[in-house]
Amino acid sequence: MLLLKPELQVKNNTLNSYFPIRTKDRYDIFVWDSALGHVVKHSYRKEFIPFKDPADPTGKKKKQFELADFKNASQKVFLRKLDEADFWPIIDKMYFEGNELFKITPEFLLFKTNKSENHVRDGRLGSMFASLLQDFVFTDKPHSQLNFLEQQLYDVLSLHLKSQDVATGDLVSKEAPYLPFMANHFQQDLKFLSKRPKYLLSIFKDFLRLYAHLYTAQLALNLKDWRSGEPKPKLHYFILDSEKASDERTLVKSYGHKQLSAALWSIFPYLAMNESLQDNKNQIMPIWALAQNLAEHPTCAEALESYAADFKANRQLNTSISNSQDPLDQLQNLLRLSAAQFSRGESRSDINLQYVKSTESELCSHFIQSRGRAGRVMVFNQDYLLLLTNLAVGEKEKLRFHELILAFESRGVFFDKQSQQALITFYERIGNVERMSDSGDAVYVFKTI
Amino acid sequence: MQRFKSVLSVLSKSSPYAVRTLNQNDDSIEDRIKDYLFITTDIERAFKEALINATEDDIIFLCGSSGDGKSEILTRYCEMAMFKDRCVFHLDATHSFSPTANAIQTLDELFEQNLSSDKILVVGINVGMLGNYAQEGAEQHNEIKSSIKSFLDGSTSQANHLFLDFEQFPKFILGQQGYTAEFVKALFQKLTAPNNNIIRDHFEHEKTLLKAADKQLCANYELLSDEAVQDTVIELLFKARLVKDQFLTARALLDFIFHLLAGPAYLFDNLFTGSDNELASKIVGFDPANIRTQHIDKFILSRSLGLPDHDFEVFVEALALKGFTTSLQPESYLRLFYLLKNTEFANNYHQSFSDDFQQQLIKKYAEIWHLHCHFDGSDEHKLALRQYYKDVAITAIHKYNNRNAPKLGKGEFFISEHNGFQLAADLELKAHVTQIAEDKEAKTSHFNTYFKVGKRVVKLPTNINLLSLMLRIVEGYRPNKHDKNTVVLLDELVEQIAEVANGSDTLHILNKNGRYKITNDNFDEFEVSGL
Repeated sequence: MLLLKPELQVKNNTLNSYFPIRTKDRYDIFVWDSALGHVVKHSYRKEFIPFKDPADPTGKKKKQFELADFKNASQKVFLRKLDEADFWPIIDKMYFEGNELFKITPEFLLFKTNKSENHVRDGRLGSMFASLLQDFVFTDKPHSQLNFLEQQLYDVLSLHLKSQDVATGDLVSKEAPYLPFMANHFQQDLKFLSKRPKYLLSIFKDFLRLYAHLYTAQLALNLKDWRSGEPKPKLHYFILDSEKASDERTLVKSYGHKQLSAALWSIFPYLAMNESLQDNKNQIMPIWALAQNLAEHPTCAEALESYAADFKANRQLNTSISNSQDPLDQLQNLLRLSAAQFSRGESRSDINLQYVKSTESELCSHFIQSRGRAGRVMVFNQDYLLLLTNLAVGEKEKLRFHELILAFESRGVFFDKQSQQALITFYERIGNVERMSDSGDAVYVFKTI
Repeated sequence: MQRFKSVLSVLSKSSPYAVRTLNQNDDSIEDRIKDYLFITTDIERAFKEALINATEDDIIFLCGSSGDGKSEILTRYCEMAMFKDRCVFHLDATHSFSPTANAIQTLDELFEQNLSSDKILVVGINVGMLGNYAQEGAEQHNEIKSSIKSFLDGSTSQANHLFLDFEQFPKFILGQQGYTAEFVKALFQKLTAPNNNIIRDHFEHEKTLLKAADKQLCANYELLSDEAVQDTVIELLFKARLVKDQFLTARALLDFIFHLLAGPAYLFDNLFTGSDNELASKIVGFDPANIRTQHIDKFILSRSLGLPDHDFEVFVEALALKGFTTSLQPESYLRLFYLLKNTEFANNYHQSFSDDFQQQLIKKYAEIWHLHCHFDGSDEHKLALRQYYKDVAITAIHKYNNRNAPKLGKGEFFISEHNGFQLAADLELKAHVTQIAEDKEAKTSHFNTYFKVGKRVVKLPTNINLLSLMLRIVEGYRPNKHDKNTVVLLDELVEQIAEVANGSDTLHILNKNGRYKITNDNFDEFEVSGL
């Protein structure tokens, strides 16, 4: 069936799929903690049972279960079980101050998904991960060794949780994954981490930030290549933060920050156009899948052509467009027009510039450093590197260095030869390598967890 | 007669003789020296035997890293009449013979030809290349690829594919009495043998040149002729192998010897000041001039100030007779003292420093390694093991685990901290002797220790760096999490301990003002004491 919207009308540019940033966003948009909550909600399929509002005398009113309600419920249980009631304040101090509660098990992070003023934005970040997760669900629940006090708290929490119905709206992803390879890795890695809950809790935020960046970068780099079908990891070179960036490193220079910056520019125009072509009652498809679908229905070229003409007139553009009868050429026209409306000198150009700035600061800033003459480069710091190494080795005991590099590349992280040397030095310092010979090739890398 | 230095330069890795290729024999002096120094190793004997017993379908892989001596062995055999017509030799699998083909394609072709030939195929290859071939080789050689994969995984491969690996013939062997390094020792012996030694002949000739002679080189050669000095150098090489994971290949070793003898300075300085040689660059870290003890510091000060010291002057005069200059830097003297630490010289002034150089680590490592890898179940072994666990491993782990909770006593293990309250539990941590007895792994680089943590068995592979860290922790050193090195291994263990401790039914809760105990009894009640 044709995925094209039956009535193509020129409207304002809107974007509600594949990317969490909107044109009105500026900086410090997201509270990452709540993104964690959303990922937990999605992968555990758990949510709070609506709670009887204690302020309501009739007992019919329901409200969302808040942290304060949880504390009250826990207090009741503990006071019943403790032989010295005076001990409750100590437990209160231990677990209910600061972020201690959220370090017990991932389920406690569900409190972070409660509605608040930032709820909408964080939900968008959540749905970006949901798009990566698709219908992923933990088959075996991660459980960590809790002590009996924590276990008690967890039991109280469980009383207020219910398994979500798979059919409810915010669970089924509204979009097919744009980068299937990234989605597979994300699910696989989350599954691996879920078996190590303590480690998961300690790096959860880093894990999501890492994937948010890799997703952003690979999405941007793959956008224009929609004719090649399903996306593959595109060259995207990083250096380690301990290395010098020099102009001589051609790969780092040509496939580094500059390339990414340029690619980020296309995100909004391309995705907005993609969305305007599809009916939002169905699952939204990525551009490359839409193109495949259009190619099967050559007759739709006409509709596209007239939409392109309308669009050009509405936006007062003078971009030259081809009048071919191939729907893919027409799609190309539309994408070019969509990009042209933001080009320099147009009234909209500032909007997209701001969009790129926000994207860079929110989703890429952890991986960008300014390095003197070499300008800005993509950088991997040690924490992210260790995390990525552990994910790459995964359930295996160890990987040959060469295979490790391949595992990095399949997640969209590339290192040139010089960085690879630095990597080995880094691993040697940590002590998670075993050399089989000094030919430099037969180096095995272990996980550190 | 050539000059001594130019003769020695055969050893250097930059010499054209450092890489062995076919048809290279011209019976020059360099070739004669190479032949003289050649030592038949165990892997060569094994290789010869394999070659004699091989049949025409067989493929023999000789695996080692670059510089191990694969080509050296292969060229010897491919010129022998008895193998010449029976075998095809492919000396270096990382090469290709045409600009359009890469090494993988060359190997594909080689195996292809081998299918239709009636000869034994012999391939010299490094382990990295093997791994690459297993990944990227052509489909039709899946048999060979799967053999390679199983060899890399350590399982047995097909019968007609034989893998001989330099890795399986280590150059250092740990034994009950410490370690042995036959190959290195034999090489030093040959190099400095008193009779029938082509190298020594050149040395003697150099000395007759009087004024023109290279005195520094001659002095170095004489110093290296002392067996105790050789042993000290070998000990340093072994230390580099254990501590810095530096492998020893034949080529690197020869180059290292050349650097020791013909380097820019005297032997003891060449040994500790590094160069582009990979071995020397690792040994820099063991420079005795960086050891800080009162005695050593005093020596450096008094030498810098030129204070009179009669015994020292006698020692220096004796050195001058050996051809060393009388005005060295104090650091250089210290390095010399280190080199001579196991031998007599002149008035033995240098031996007053032997306590400062006392580094028992390798000895200790060898002992404990032996206890783990060759555990014989005897009472004295058990006793020695228990002692190591009690005094070193468990003490260190306990100290490290409770580094932020000084109030905890013996047998109590810190679990976690929540807003200033520390949780801890009582736990039994013991050596797990049966597991140690069952573990049959014996790699020089580490030994596996086993602990009983409550009801769980936990394994901790210990290398020399971890051992040294634990010894230092016992002495009071406090590692911090930010120098991410060996500590990672300890952290892993500590995490497991915390997990087990977290499951116990009695918890201690400590904060600034006091200490509480809370117990989960079977009736679902929490008993508190200490309020």
